[in-house]
Amino acid sequence: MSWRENGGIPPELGELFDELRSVQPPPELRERILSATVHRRRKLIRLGLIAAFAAFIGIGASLLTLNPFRERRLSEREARMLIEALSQPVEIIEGGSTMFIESIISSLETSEGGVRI
Amino acid sequence: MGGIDEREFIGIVEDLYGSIYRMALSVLGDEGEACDVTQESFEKLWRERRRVEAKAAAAWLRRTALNLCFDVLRRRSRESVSEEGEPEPIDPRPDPLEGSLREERVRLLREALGRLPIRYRVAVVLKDIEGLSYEEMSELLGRPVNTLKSDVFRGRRMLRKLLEPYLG
Repeated sequence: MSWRENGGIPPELGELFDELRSVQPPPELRERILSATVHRRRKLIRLGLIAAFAAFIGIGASLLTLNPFRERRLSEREARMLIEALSQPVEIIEGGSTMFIESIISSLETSEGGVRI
Repeated sequence: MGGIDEREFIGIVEDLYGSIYRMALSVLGDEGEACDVTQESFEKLWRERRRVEAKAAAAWLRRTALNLCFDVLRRRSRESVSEEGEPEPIDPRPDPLEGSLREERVRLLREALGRLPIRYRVAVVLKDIEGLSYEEMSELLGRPVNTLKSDVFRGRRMLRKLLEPYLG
């Protein structure tokens, strides 16, 4: 039975089809596909992690250098020392101006957070 | 739970990129465009990976690549052969500077395929180069099996006529 009768491929065309089937894609095509898909996603994840890490480091460094709580801690400590001094017997500050002490107390009372005496 | 994970996707690329490239090359006849279509098909699969089953990936890729090929063909300003017309024979004389005999034969076949009307070209490529069954082709192209059988037969006959001087 000929190829015409059985609906098959003419033999000479079959050989050509075999040769076309053995054509290899360019070697860089696989890498191009992976770069545009899987590797791109990995790169984006890596970039995201680096950005998050950089932000974390940045915030940490700015907290250490600017230290916004440092000043508050210092004023609290000074205030505590003053309060301790003021709670000493009156003789210690004999000769001092009671007006001066009163002004200190009033300024402490109006300062941020207030101070309990 | 459907979807394709990263490892499965890499496996699909390894298994199918050659086949998708060859199909696109056979339909389009241009290596650069075949590369672009192959890459775009896999990029689309990557974007749709959560909705596509791994076992359906091959058919999905073929369908997407074929649609992209049709887009490319539509963009081309002119077809060398109309649907009804009879193609003219191609030049069988190999160019000695164009590489090996095998490469020359492949070039002739690609050129001949490029001169077939699109429907016959696609039918021959899917049947004779991709090795799909008529049922798979019918599912892929949405055409009845008997129509596809007729397209393949006519496509082969035209190819043979085109390559006659060379094959003779």
